Amino acid sequence: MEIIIILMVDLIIGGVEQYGNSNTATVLQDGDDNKSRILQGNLNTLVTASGNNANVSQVS
Amino acid sequence: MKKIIIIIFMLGAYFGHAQNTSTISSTGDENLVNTDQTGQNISTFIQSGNKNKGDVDQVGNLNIATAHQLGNKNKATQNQTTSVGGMLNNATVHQDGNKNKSTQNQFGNMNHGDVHQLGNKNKANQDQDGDMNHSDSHQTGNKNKTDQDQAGTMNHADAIQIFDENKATQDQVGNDNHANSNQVGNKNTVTQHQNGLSGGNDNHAVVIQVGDDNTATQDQYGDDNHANSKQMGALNTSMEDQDGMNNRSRVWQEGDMNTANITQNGNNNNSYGGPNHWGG
Repeated sequence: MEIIIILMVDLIIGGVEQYGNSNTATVLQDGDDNKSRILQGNLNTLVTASGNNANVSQVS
Repeated sequence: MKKIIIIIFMLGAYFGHAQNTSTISSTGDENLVNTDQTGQNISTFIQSGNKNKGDVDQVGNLNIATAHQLGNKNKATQNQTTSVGGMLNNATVHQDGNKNKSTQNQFGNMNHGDVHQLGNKNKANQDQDGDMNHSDSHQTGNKNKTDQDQAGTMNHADAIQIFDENKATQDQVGNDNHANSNQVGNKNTVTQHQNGLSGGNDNHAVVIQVGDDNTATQDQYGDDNHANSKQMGALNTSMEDQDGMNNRSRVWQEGDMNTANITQNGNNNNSYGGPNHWGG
């Protein structure tokens, strides 16, 4: 009998979060010191591209 | 009529090394174990069932390999070699079921490998070259597969897979890289690559997938990058590609058929909530 316990750590909001179905998020950050935070529900699509010191945020 | 085949080569006496120790126990029909040891090696191989196979090859100064196989047609291969003056590779295999297969190759010192497979037709491969690498693979179910390949010093990789036909691939080149994969469900896939032109150091990759047919890919090249992906549902896809230093990426998907692609080239990019929101 083998018992395996998985620690579900890191339950923090942030980054790309998608709750629902058929969402698509594409984030391209090419440069330094960029930040992005994406939160999507259903059937959303997002594409971002950043240079330096950019800050992208979407909640939908 | 039970047939037990045991082949033991004890070469240590010929080369002046201290005594090797090999303990083999096979119960059932047509089981086969081949142990070849040079140096202060210890090997314990226990099989119960039919047509199981074992192959242990240890060269160096004190390698330890332990294998338990319970069921039919399982196969375990353990190859370990320490580098000059080195001490202790360690490999452990436990397979319970039928037609499971494990291969462990370790070169260096203080490498550790651990495979637990419970079910049928699971497969685990572990290759480690360096010092104090560590990789664990735990698979419960059927037709799961793990490939772990590490080169460098003090890398760490572990994979846990529960239910059927999950696949985890973990490749790390450099020092102090960490990869962790947890999959619960069916037909999920994780691929984690961490390395760089200069080796790549201090990268962290974590994946948790619960559900079916989810795919997560994490590629990190450079130093001190962190990628975290968590998917709960079915048919979700996550891809995180980071090339540079000190980048942070995080994906969390709950539901079905979601896709997230994050590509970060450069340094200090951040695609997650905050500097302290990291578990890896």
